[in-house]
Amino acid sequence: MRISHRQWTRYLADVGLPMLAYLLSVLGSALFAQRMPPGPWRMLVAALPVPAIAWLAYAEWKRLRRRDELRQRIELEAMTIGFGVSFAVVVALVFLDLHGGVNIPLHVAAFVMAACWIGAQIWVRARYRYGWLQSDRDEPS
Amino acid sequence: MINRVRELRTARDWSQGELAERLGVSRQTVNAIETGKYDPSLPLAFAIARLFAMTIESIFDPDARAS
Repeated sequence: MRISHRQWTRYLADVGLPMLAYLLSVLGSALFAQRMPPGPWRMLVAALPVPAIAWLAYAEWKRLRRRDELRQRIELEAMTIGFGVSFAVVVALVFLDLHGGVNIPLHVAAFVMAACWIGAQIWVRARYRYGWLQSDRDEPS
Repeated sequence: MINRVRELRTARDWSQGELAERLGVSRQTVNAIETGKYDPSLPLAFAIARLFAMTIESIFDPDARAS
């Protein structure tokens, strides 16, 4: 199965702008924040991706509400499992950091969350035999 | 819960994709319902019943479990 042109167009129309805003704000924040002197302006530039992330989350949520009901179930289950597992792992890492004498950088949490969500997606989709790449007929118009 | 969706679909010589299109859902949803992996929402169960001109309880049996 492959993703059709129509599906790409629909996906880009749904989340293209917030995705672009997110990528640009991450790039801008990474490039400029470290060159700025410490202070409120640097903090503001460092936090640039936050509104874009909120916009992207809103766009994804709106997109999900229009999707097939099984797909909604899969996303909900994957998010629940992903959040539960990643929360447990992050809490364990925090305790290791606090009491285990191991220095774990904060950004590891983002990778843990992403990995747990992807793992949960694979598991839940396999359970419902729901493919990764949809053909034209696999998603209702 | 077991159901007669596959039996009713094949009796009409429809593919899973055709049934999915008539119901406005994905083919995977039809497949998951037929294999008992997913129980449809009430609106979808009504849509299935309406499509086959039957009652919901004559298609879905809530007391039986899918193997």
